Amino acid sequence: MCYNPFSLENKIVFITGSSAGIGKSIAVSCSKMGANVIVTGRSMSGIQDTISELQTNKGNNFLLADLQSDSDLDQLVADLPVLDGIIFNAGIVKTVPVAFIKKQQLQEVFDVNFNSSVMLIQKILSQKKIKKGGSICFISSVASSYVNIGNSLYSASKGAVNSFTKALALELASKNIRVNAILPGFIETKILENSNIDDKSLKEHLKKYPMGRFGKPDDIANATIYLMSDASQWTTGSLITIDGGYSIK
Amino acid sequence: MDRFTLLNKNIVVTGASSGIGKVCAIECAKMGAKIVLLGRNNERLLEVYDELNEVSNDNSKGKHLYYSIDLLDDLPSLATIIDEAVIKLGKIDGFIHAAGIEKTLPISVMKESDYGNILRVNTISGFDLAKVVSKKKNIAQKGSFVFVSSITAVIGRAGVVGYAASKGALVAGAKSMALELASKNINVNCISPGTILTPMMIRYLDSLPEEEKLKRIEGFPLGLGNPKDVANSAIFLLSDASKWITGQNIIVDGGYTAR
Repeated sequence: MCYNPFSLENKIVFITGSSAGIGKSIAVSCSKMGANVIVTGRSMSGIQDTISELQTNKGNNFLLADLQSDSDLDQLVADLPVLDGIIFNAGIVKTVPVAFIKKQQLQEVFDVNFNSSVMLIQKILSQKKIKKGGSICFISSVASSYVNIGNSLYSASKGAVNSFTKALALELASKNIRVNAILPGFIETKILENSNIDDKSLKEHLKKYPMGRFGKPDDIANATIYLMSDASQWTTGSLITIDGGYSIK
Repeated sequence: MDRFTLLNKNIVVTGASSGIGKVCAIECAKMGAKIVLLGRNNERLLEVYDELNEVSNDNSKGKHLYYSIDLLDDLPSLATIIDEAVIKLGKIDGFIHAAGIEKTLPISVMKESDYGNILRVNTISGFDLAKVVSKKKNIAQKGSFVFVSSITAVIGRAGVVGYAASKGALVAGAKSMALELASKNINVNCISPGTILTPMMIRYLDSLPEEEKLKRIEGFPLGLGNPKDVANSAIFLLSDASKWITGQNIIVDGGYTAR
């Protein structure tokens, strides 16, 4: 098909947390749609897998960085080319009842899920590393509004991402830069296969998903393509929930 | 590239003779879909039909259909039309319900019949279309229904009580319908656009005093939208790329509701 408003041809897209799971799928999918993809991770061994699946003729690149390190962030932004798109995907889950939360856990969840994204975009903007007409996408979570017991820190950090998305959208509208968030439900990734969640509780959880299945990383990757492409050029400040109907039930 | 294609999909579009519906039909045809055009004005439908054939690939050229129907008083004809479309094209993969009428009037002068007419065209006809299309004999193995709502479903705007309520009803109804039709593998979603520069909207904006017109435009951080912005969102929702999105209201408004 020659006509495709979802094409990412000639766009440079930068993805954080791209070594596995959703981030890997986003990187590979954007690459398939023609983007020049830049992935980042803490170690070469972590992102090697992703890099090996990218289309090779687009001048893809990788930058090693620990997003929690100020000096790494500075170096990362200095090394970045001027971007058309950024997808903030790095995140961690921490399940702990409120009565047992330690300050260090609060710090860690917000550092990874929120603070590091704020500092990274701050540096990208001040170093003018995103083009006018560019697109920014945060991977938030349906858990930002639909909460589970023990998951307060994760939910709150993603709620912060949602508010920040809207505020940034307003600030960057004059530069015609769009800012949106995707709120996924439960996505099946390899990380899950290796976890200690048992089949029975997974089966129980599946009943909450009207479409009859958990999400796949590609379900999220497809939406990032829509948001990175010119097809969504008038969409900004929007939160797009992708959850197979979980949150409406 | 394949995941956003509408190749081999049969898509029904209401309100297809003008505005957002017309552009949705044309853009879907560009993505490879065969389109069943529904609209009030036969002459303009024929024009859209001709345009569809110009942008279509060999697979769908000449295979689009068009039917003039007034959704205000001829809802029973929907079943006949869809039956015929299924015979000619095969089962239906989805629809875009873009038909809509607006009346900007204060409630002091709104008549009961005004509310009834707005609800009938904007909301009830869409639900009725969903009923007909979701029948086993009409629907493909998986489907996607898209209702064009409006940001007036979620914001307040003076003078559009009936219109806003009709669009809000689409958002609420789509959630219920999404649960009902999930087992048939049908996704149901709304798109809520802000002010879109259709020919009708351009005429309306031009009729406003300059100050009021500027005020309307200033509400949108990215300026006013184009019908294509809605169409591209609809293509995403109709394509296989969005099979895990259901019951949602996708806001496409240039940032209006972010503040």
